Amino acid sequence: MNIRLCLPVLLACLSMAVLPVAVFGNEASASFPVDLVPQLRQIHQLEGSFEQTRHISVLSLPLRSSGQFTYRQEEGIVWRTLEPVASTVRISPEQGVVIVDDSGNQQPVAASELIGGIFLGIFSADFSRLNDYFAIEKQPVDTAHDSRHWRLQLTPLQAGLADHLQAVEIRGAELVEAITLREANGDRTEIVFKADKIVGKPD
Amino acid sequence: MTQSRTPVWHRFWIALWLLVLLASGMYCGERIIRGAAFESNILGLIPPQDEGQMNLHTGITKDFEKRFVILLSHPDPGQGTALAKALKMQLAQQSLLSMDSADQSTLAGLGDFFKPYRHQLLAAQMREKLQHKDVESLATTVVNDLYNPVSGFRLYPFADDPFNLGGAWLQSVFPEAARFRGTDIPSLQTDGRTWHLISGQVQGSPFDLANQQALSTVLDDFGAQPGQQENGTTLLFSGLVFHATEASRIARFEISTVGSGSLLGIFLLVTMVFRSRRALTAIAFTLASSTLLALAITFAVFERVHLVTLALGTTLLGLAVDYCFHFLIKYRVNADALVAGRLIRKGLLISAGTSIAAYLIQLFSPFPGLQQLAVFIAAGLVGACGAVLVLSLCFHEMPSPGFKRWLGFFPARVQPAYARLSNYRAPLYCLLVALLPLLAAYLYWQGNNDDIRLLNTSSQNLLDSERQVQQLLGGIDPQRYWVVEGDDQQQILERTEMLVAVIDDGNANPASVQAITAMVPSLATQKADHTLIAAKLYGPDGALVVMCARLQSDCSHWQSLPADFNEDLIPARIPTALASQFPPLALTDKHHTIVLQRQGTALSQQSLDSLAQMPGVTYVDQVQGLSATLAAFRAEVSILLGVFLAVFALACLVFYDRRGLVVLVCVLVSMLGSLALSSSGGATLFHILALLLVMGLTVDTAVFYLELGLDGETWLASTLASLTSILAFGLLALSQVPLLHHFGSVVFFGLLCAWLITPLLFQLAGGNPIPAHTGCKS
Repeated sequence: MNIRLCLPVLLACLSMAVLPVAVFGNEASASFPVDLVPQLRQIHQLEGSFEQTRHISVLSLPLRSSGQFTYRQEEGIVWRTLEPVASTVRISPEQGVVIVDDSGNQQPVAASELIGGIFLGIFSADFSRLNDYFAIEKQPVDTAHDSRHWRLQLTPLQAGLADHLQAVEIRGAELVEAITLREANGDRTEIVFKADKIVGKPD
Repeated sequence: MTQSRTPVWHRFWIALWLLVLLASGMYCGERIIRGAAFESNILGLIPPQDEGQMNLHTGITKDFEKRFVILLSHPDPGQGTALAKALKMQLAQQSLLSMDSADQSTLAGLGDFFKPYRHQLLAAQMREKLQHKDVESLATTVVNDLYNPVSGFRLYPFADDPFNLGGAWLQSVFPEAARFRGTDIPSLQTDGRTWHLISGQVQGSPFDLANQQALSTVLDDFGAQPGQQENGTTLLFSGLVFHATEASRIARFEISTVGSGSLLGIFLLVTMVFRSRRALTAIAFTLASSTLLALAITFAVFERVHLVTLALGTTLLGLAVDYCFHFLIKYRVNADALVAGRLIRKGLLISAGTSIAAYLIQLFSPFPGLQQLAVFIAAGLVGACGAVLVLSLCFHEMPSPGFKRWLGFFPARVQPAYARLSNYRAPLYCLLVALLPLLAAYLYWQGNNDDIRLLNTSSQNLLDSERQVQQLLGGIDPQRYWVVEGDDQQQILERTEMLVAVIDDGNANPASVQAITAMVPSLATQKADHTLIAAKLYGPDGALVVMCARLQSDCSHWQSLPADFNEDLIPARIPTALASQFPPLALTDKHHTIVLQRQGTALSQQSLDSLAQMPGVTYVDQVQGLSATLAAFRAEVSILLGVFLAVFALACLVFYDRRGLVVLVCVLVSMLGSLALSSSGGATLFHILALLLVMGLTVDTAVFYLELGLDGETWLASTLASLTSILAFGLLALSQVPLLHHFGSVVFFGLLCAWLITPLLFQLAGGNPIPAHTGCKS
């Protein structure tokens, strides 16, 4: 080899990612058991509205917001917050999470792969991409009035992630209806979805 | 050997020589058994740079040369993960390897250590925002983020760091980190492919054969080769240990190829010509003496013997038998070992003397590898000389079945051909007169080559793999960097900040360099940032007030922020575990730091001019520096060769008069011919160094013709000697290593020229240059 080429080797090792490993590192779990929620519809396209409530421990009042979303399998999610502030976020497997400003400029959100992956998994009803990060467990629900309902609890597999995120809860029937993210410091975010237009995957 | 007929003083010399060999053998055995006798560190071949730079390089290599990276990709990312896990598990089972794991303590440690300083550390982009944006805008960004379900990385919770200064700062320190998926096997996606990262380090030196074995055993079992695409799996390797392993493998292969090829050639020639076990014994004794003495003296002078020295040193086998061939032929002809010894003694001493001198001149070369080679071969030639002289004391009659057939070959076939050629004396002289300047002109036209790739010992596959890993991981360019000097660390930090500012101004990519100040800014900068944060974010008219109003909060939680300025954040206080994660910290001492540049960073001339004016800042370009070093050494060795040639020419004329001129012309033709035939890409330092050897070997041939006469015996001895050396250096010329290839091909062509042209030149100069010795019965 070019003898001095050994040095880039050494430095390449150094410049590689230590942090995301530390932030999001975990053990992969077994495959997600699809039959846990057989009633969940596979979605090709979805449009609707959402209501989000965020409880932050150091703020006396919860932060409520609402807006609209669209999901297309090829393009990902466009998340438009309309009240009380206006903002647009795009989430796609290729580009990750980007914030779009009023002029259409896109600002990538660093290290947002995990949360972007959760959203894409929920909207596409494909939880398999979450298996790398969470243990997924079905929780009992009160099915007296509707046996189609289900509830899943996602628990971080690795301590580093658990230091930040305690659990994710997903509820739904044919579609995902709500998610709750519980952070380790006590903060909590609840998002409730209401679907207006649904296009299922072709058989 | 018949001891009863050997005089006492002969027995004394024989016993002494055997004792020397015994002592050498025991010494070599002890060194080899003790271990660490050989090394394969190709860095050892490079001449040391100036001391300051050397220390910095030592700093880099000492800490990081043990690390290695493997990237694995499979079309199915799930299967890729499984394969990467399996490979990592196999590697982890090797006791000499330690694998990186998702160690949460690193991030936790960073967060904990820097928490007291979070309000005096700003990423450059964040600093610019605070300087140029109004408080309304800053507050809006935070509020929008709070309503946004997808937010970026945070080092500290909202309660401790509402403006996420810590998250932005840490991302600026490790800009590449965000590209990786943080699963147990971290991965990154690029161009639609998922690459799984497996990394670790060897426990000891990457040049330690045991460490190389530990890694290569697992990879061989896994069926992994760089760039391999089997069943859709692609593997890329990066790490000094891979290059060291390949260099060792090549060196071992070439030692065995050249060594066994030479031995086989010698065995066949001796069997064919002498048909005698005693001749084989004599050859074996000479080779054993030569090798033992070469190894023992090299071990005595140097701590370890380099594998490249051994690879080049195997050519010694071809050289060492030369003297024995001359002895055996004279012994065969005269049937008296003492007479044979006396006949060849002068030629032997002159010939060995010039070859040894030619090699020892390489002690002046700055390359430790070549210095070692010079000692190895010179000692080996002394051993061969001594062995031949001892043989002349202990050999007696020897039957010679069929030997005359070989002695008659020259007068029957070769001499007539040379005689016919020498009839064209005038055209040949014209050709010779024209050829020398033509060859010189051709060489001048070819120019020189001082490319540092001459020192390359890795395959193209491995180099391609290395480049791909660097591209994917965003590697640092270790060839080009800045050294910042200062009277104390604060001055170094301030100068580094100025340097980084100029580089960032002149470069589109703000993360084009990696400097210590990204993690530990100067106290002046920390103070300024603390003041800016206190005023713009937490002051009475700061962004926090606006944010709290919008969130309908009383801000009571943040009343105590920011804390007072803390003067404790200096490089010396960074814990070792954290410092090891950030190369510039490991490359900083009391008076120096290194600012590393990422691959592909291009600076405008204006920036370079500004940087050249900065006090205490030096730009280091290792590629340019090493090429310049090679060029300077090439020039030095060329001058040395010229001086040596001039002294030699003078000695030839003084000692041999007009006949010395023939020797000189032989040497010139061989040197120019070999150089012209082997330096199509330009003459390198190694071509010039090899020319010294060509000179020594040509003198060998010519001096034996001068001393013993151009007859069947001397021609046969010279032919046998030349063929064994041609075989050894011809095999070396096939080497994959450019250095060995150049060296081998120059000597190969030089020997070929000397063997073919020297008899012709002697013939042109008047046939047999001296009357045959009275002792010769040709």
